[in-house]
Amino acid sequence: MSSNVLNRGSARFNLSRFGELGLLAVLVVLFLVFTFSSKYFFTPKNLSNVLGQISITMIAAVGLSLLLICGEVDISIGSLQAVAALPLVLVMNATGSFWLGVLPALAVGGMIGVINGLLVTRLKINSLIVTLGMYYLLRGFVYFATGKVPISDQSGKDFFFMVGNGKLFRFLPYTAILMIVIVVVFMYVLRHTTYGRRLYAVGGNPEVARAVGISPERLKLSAFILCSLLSSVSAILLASRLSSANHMAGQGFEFQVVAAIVLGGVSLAGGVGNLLGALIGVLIFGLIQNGLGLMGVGTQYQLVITGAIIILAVAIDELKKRHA
Amino acid sequence: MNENNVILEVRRITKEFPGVKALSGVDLSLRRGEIQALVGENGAGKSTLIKILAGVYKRDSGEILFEGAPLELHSAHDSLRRGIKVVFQELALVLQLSVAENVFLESFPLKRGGAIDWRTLNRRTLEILGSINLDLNPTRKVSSLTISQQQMVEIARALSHEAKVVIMDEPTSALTPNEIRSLFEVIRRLKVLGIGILYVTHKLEEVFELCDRVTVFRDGQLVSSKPVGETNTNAVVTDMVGRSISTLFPRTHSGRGETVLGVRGLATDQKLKGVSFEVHAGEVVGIFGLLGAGRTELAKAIFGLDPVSAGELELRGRKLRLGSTSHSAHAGLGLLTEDRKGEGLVLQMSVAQNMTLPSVREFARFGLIRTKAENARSQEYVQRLAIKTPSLRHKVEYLSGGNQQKVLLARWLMKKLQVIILDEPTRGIDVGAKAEIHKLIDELAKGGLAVIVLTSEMPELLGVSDRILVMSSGRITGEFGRTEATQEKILAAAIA
Amino acid sequence: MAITATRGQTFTRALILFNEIILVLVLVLLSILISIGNPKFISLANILNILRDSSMAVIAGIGMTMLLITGEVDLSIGSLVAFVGVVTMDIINKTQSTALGVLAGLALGALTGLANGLVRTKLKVNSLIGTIAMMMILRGGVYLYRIAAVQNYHQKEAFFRIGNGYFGFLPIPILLMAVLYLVFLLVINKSLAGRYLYATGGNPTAARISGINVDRLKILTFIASSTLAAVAGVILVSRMNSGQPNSGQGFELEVISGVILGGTSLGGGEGTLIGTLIGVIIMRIINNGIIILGWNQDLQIVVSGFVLIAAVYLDNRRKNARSKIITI
Repeated sequence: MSSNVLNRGSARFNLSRFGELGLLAVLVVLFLVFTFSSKYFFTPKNLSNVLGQISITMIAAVGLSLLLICGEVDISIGSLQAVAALPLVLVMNATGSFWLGVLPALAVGGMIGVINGLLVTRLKINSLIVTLGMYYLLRGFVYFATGKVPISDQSGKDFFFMVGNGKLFRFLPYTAILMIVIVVVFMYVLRHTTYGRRLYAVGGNPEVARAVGISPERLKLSAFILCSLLSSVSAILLASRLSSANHMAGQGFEFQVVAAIVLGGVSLAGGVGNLLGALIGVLIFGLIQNGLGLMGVGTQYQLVITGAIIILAVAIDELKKRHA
Repeated sequence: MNENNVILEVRRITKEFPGVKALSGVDLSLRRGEIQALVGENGAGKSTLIKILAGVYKRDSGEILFEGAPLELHSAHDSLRRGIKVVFQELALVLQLSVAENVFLESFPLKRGGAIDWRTLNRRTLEILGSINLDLNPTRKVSSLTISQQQMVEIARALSHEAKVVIMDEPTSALTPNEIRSLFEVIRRLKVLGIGILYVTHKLEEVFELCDRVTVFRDGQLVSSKPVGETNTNAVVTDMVGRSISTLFPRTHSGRGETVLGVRGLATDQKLKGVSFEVHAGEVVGIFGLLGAGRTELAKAIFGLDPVSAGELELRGRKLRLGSTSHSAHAGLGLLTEDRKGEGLVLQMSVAQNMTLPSVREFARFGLIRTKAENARSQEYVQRLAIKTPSLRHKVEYLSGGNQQKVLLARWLMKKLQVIILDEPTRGIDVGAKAEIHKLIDELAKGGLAVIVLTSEMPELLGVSDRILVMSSGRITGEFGRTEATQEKILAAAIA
Repeated sequence: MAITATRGQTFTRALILFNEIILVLVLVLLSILISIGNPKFISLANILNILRDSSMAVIAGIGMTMLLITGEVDLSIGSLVAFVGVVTMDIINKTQSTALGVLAGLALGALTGLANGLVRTKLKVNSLIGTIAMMMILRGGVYLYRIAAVQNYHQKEAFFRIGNGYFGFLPIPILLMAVLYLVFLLVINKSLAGRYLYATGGNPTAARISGINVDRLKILTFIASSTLAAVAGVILVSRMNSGQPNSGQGFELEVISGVILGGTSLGGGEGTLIGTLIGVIIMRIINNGIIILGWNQDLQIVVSGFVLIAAVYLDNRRKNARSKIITI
C-alpha cells in the first residue's frame, strides 16, 4: 500500500522521460553514423531530399497521432494515398487546374474518414479491423480503377511539379514548409485548445470524459476525419513527386507511420504522446531509409527493419504500461 | 429537523438486479454541512445507493429530492452538473493531463480566440486548492501524484463544479495515516463550506472520529441513522450484523489430521503484508475480512495467480513453487474464485466440460477424450449435488448462479485435491442453495481435504468454520477457535 | 429458471445452427447467381477446380481456426506462403530432394510460428500487431533471400505431383485437405488439446486455475497454424511451378475473412471447422466467380476487405445477442 504510493511521481526510473531524450540521442547517433559511412549523406542535396521525403510522412503522421492519442488507429492511410491521388490527377488532366483537382482529392479523403469513423463509433467494430479491411478494400479498388497502370500527369503544370519537388532557396522543400506549418498548428491545437486536451482525455479515460459531458464518439469521428484529410494532403504531395497517380503508392506506408510515431512515444493504448516525439520518430525512420539507401542497402531491409521496430516499440509500450 | 437545511433526500428508493434486491425502500436525508457515514457489510446496499446518486444506475422506484425539488438523473454528467460529486475508489482522472486540467475538465477557461487560458485556469485551480488547504502545483501531471493527492484533485474538481453534495466511497483504503489526517482536514473544510458529505467506510474508528451522523445499511434496507454522539461502536456493529445466527449448519466432520498447507510470511507488492498460518486435513478454516483486507489477494497468491514478493508455501512438508498455477494445480490445490463468471467458468462450454476441466486428463486415452466416461462421472456429480440442468451438454452460462457454483464445486470435488480454497462460495446465491453448498463444504472436510473458506458473511463464517482467522490490511489480526468465536470479537479484529 | 434456460439455449442453438444453414444457403445462392452469369461455373471441372483452389486456404484455415479459438490471430501467413515457396523450390534445386525441400519449407513455417508465439507470450505484444510486423519482416526477408522468382530446375516428379497430381480421380491437394481436415476435426473436437484450446480462449484464468499452461498452449497453436500455412505454401509453389517472392498477397485476408465468416469469433472460445470450411469455400467461390464472370481480378481484394468488415460486425452482433439471453 505505502510502497505503491511511494512509487508514484518519485524519482523512480521513469521510462517515458527517458524515451524522448533517448530518441533524440538515437537520432544524433544515426546522423553521425551515416555522415561517416557515406560521403553523399551530409550534402545539401541529400539532406534536403530527406527533408522533403519525411515531410510527406510527417504530415500523415500528424493525423495518425491525433487518432492514436484519442485511442483509435487507422492502418488504411497508405491505401488512401493511392486512392486520393486518383481524382487529383484525373481532374487535373481533364481541366488543367491543380486546385480543381485538390478539392475532390480532399473530399475523397474526408469521406473515407467519415466511413471509418462511423464504422468504429456507431457500429462499434474494432478500429484495427475496420481499417485493416479498408486497407485491402481501397488498395483493391485502386488496382481495379487504374488497371494497375499509373495514371500520369498530362497537364504538364509546372505548379503541380513544384508542389512536391520544388525547393525554396534551392534547399528548403515546399513540402517541408507545409509540414512545419501543419506541425506547428496541430502542436498548438493539442496543447492549447479544448479540443486537443479532450483528445487526450478521451484516449486516457473515456468514461471520465463521458462523465463530464464529452462525447467520445463525436471526438473520435472528428479525429478519423482529420487523419484521413491529412493523409490526403500527403497523398497529393506524393502524387506530385511521382508525377502520377500510382497504384502502388503508399504500399506499406501505414505501418511505417505507425511504427515511427509509436517509437516516438505516441502510445497505441491512447492518451499518451505528443507531436514532437512523433516528429523525432519520423526523422529516425527517414534517416534510416535514406542512410541505408545511400549505403546500397535495398528497400527489402526497410520492411524487415520496420517490422522489427514495430514489435520492439509495442513491446516497450507494453512494458511501460505494466510498470506504471 | 430544520427543513431548509436538508440538501439531499431520498425516499423509498428501490433497486433490483436479477435475483437480488439491492435496495428496498430506503429513506435517507443529508443536511448541509453534515458529514454522514454510510456503513454496512458487503452487499448491504450502500454502493448501489451511491451509484444511483451518481447517475450510474437508474432507480426502480422512489424519489430523489435535491434542495427540496425532485431530481431525475439520466447520466453521470447529469449528476455532476446538478452538484453531486462522487469520488469512487477507482479514481476518475485522466492521468496524462495536469491537475488543473482535471479539475476543470468539463470546461476550460478560454482566451479570446479560443485558446486555453492557462493563467486563469491555473490561478483558479490554486484558489480551489487553497480553499481546502492543499499545496499542489496545478501544472503537474496527475500521473505523478500520490493516490492521496489524486483524491484531493477529485475533491477539487467537485468544488470547481460548485458541488453541494460530495460522496466518498471508501476513500482511505490506500492511504497512509498521515494522508488520512490530511483528507479529514479537507473534508472538514468542505463541511465549513456548507457541503453535505456522505462518507462510505468500513472503518468504524473513522466514523467516530470524523462524522456527525452514522447510517447503517443491512440487506438492502436502512436499519438506523443516529447522531454519532448518541451511539457507539458496539451498537453500530450490532445494527450492521444483527441477524439470528442459524445453528442449522450441518456439522458431521470432526477431528483434524496432519498439517497439509503451511503458509509462511506470504507478502505481495500490493496488499499482503506477511501472512502465516496452517491448515490441517479435515479442517475448515474460515478467513474473514472486510473490504480491502486482502482475502482474495491471499487466495490468488497462494494459488499462484498473482506474483508473490516474499514468503513460502509448504504442502505436506514439501516446498511448493510460488507464482505458477500449473504447479499449484498439479500439486493438488484447487481454487474457487470469487468471480465465478469472469474467472471460474468457461461460459461457452457445457456443464460436463466445465466440471471436468482440471481432471479431463483422467478420461483421455491416447490423447482423445472418452466422452462416455466423462459424462458418466459428470452425471454422478450432477445427482450428488442436485444440480438443476436440462442436460450435461447444456451450456453453463444459462444456469442460475447457484447451480453454476455447484458446477464449480463439483469440478473440485471431482479432482483428488489436498487443499481447496473457496472464495465467497455462496455470494449471490439464494438461501436454499447456500445451505446445500455448506453441506458440501462439510463433505469436503470429511473427505480429508484441507478447506479454506474466505467469506464476508458472518453467519456463514461462524457456521462452517472449525477455526477462524481474521484479516485486516493485509495481515492476520485474529485467530479464534469455533467455540470461542463471537461476532464482536471477529469484527473487532477486522477493524484493527 | 430451468424453463427460461431451456428456451434461451434452444434459441441460441438455433442461432448457431442457423448460422451454418445460412452459410450453406449463401453458398448455394452465390453459385446459382454466378452460374447464371456463366454456366461453366457449375461444371464438374470447375467445381473440382474450386475445391482444389480452396484446398490451400482451407488448410491454412484449419490452423487459423485453432488460433482464433485461443483468442489469437496470425496475419503473416501470406508472406509466409511466399517465403516457403521460394525456400522449398530453392532447396529442392540445390539438393535434388523433394523431401528435403518440403521439410525445409515446413520447418520455416514452424519457426515462424514459434517466433509469433514468443512475441505474443513473452513480449506481450498483441498478436494482431505482432503478426502484421512479422508479415513485413517475412516479406522483406523473402525478397532478401531471392529478388526474382526461383525457377524449377529440378523437374522432380514428386514435387510436381503435390500440387497437380491425382490420387485416382481426386486431385492430391483435395486429398491433403481432406486428410488434414479430418485429423484436426478429431483433434479439435475430441482431444485433450482441443478441449484446452477452447478453455484457453473462453476463459484464460479459469484455464490457468485448472492447470493448463496457457502460454505454452498458445505457442504450440501458433506453430501448428504456421506449419499448416506452410503446407499450403508447398502446394502453391508446386502449382505455380516456381517460387515467387511476391505470391501470397492477400492470402491472409482470404483465410481470415473465410474463418470469421464461418462463425469463428475473434474473441476466442468459439469456432468450428465446418464453419471454416464453408466460409473459406464461399470466399473462394466469390473470387473464382469474379474471374469466371470476366470481372477485374482486383475486385477480389475489394470484396474480401468488405467481407472482413461485415463478418466482424456480424460476429459482434452475435456476441451481443447471446449475452442478452443469459439468465443469472
